[in-house]
Amino acid sequence: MTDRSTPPHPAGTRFQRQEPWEHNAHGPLHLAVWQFLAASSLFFGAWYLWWRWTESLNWSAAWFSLPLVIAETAAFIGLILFTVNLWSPRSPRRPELPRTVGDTVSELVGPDRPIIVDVFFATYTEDPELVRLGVQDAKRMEYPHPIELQIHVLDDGRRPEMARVAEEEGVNYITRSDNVGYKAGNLRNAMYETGGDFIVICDADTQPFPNMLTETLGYFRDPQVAWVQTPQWFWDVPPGVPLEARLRRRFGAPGGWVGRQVERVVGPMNKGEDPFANDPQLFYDFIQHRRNWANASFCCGAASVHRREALMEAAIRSWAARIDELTHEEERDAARLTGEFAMFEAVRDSARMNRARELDFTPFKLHVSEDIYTSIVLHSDRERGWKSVLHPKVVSRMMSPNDLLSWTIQRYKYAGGTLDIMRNDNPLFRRGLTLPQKLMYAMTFYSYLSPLWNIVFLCAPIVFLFTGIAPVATYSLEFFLHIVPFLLLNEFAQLCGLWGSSAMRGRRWYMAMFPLTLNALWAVLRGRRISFPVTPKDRAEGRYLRLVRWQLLFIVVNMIALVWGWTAFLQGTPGYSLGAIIANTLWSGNNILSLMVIVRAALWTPDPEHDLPVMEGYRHEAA
Amino acid sequence: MRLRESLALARGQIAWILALVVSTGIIIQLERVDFQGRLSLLERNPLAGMEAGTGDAALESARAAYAQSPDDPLPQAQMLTALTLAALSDGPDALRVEARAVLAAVSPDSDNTVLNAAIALAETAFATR
Repeated sequence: MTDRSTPPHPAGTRFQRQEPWEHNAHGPLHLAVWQFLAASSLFFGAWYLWWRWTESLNWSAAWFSLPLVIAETAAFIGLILFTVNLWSPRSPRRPELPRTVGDTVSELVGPDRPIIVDVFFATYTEDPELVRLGVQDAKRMEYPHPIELQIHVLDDGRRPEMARVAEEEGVNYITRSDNVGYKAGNLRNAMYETGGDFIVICDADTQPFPNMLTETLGYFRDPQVAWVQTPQWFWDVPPGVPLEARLRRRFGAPGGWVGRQVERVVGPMNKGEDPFANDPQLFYDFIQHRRNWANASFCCGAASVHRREALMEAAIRSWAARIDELTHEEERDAARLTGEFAMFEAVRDSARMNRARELDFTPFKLHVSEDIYTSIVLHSDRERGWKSVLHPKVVSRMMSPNDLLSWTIQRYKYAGGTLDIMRNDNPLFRRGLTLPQKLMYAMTFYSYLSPLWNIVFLCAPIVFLFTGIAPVATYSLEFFLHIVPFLLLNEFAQLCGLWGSSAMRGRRWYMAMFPLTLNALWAVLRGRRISFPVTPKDRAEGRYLRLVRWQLLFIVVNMIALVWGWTAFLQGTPGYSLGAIIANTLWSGNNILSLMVIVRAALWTPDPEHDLPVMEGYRHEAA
Repeated sequence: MRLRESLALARGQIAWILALVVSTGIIIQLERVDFQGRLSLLERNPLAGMEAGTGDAALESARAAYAQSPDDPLPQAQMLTALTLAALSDGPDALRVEARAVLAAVSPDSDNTVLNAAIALAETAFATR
């Protein structure tokens, strides 16, 4: 699986070894401790907020005090949703693999036969040689029973060289005359031209492992399982330069020895490791996997296996519902115009027929976040009760955006697409979803509103350090006695609940990307269309300080504020108590550290010895 | 190995928890020091012990402190203030002699503002001027 390149170090981190993470299966005791800590954290958080609202507001500075307490409350609601999300890893059992198509449906139509699987590789401008790698790996997929594997390259770029690669590899080449709907339109077009029972969706850079089908198809013995999503593992994440190598470069062999000893004690310390926080372990292994109990893990596109029947049936239902909706609108308009409140049945049928002709039938919603949209449609089909599964084992590899520009395009697309669904087709108001499913989707949408309160958290210590005005009635012992139990319990809960992942890194990036999310939110609120640009697969060279100008501004202002605040404190200026200055220094320092991650990413260049061999592994493989 | 890897991944969070604990410890320690400072100030306050309005007990306590350090401005101030308070509730006559004795013993041009205030109060209460 990972024998294609020699890792720079035999040991070290999994990024250095180019190995995927192993699923963190926490035992019952571990879970009980997590649930106890999480519940305690929420209890103390509620107690703290109650005290904040009832006793600690600084009404003489309400302009400052109120936004902060509102921001704290908003963040606490997010924490409740996050806790609900992570509460339990209960997941459906995976039955044995189906032998024939009859094992995957409740009622077999026609004679039983081997399962047919279509593998789609959606591509537009990506290097055809990169697609070839995925196709070759797909051809190596194994299954213990007879199976018909049909691999299709869906080329929206209409490129002869892509067609040639498909021909050389002996796989089907599908293209179309336009690019309507971009990736979603491309997949839709391929669905019309194929007929397999299951569809494996791959991006141009997806390389499935031989066990992809054996790991996933078992779930489809349950005829209600609509899709199985597997983690998207990026195998080209830069591993960074180990401390030992850094010190050896600067101080020779003695430096290397010191670095090795330090790493022996505290573990690997790689400078520039995963500079864009692309590693999605936290998302798949915890956030998505722990939605299984609520049947609410959503599809993320690549590395997922779909039941064709579910996609088609959900699309038909949505299409029919939309026709009904438009017909009713037309009926209301006609009634307003004519005063006739009951339309003749024949007229209504005619209107319905016209709408059906006009309205496109789309198995994939033509939307920038088509995968989450399709998930919502399927989850809300209460009549069929479609189920989704996040299978936690990594069974494919893909490539990550390794420069800040590509990263920004990708994250803006995610944020804008999700917020667009929230604004225009909010699942919380959608009939058919269960309460746990609504809570899970609420958590996804709510997290994209975070810049609204994160910006208050970023500004609050600056305001205090410059003015000496406290947002609380007093930074007394009482304040710390209320907030510290909550903060500590929350940290311990997250440490326990997310054990095996780097939660701190995720949290820092969550804070650092506030301008991007705010931008997406603003675009959606103004009704701007979020475009579908392809996330570049090739690294763009350069420094992207312009993309992080807001973060830089906040870092500089924070630093000036710290100097200002401490000077005022040392001069004995009223309002600057030592407790307040320590608390705000810690807060401001944490904000600076959070914002620094994205500034470092903007300035990052790969190390030729340690990063480039990993990042460009696929080129060697293609060669 | 898994434990070591998990610990390494949680380093940032563990460091944050430690920073939180240490800074909270410092803040609580500072509050305690401050609190003790306030307590010692209260103990040195000439009005200490008189908050509950038990005039006799306050007077006894002031007499004891004054007897122990008759030249110390704080017990002097405490004594005079206690006498003034007692005079306010019981009338000045019974305590006038004692008050005059203390007033005669204290330096009227002391640098101690608390003592000066106590002298002024006592002189008014016992009408020694």
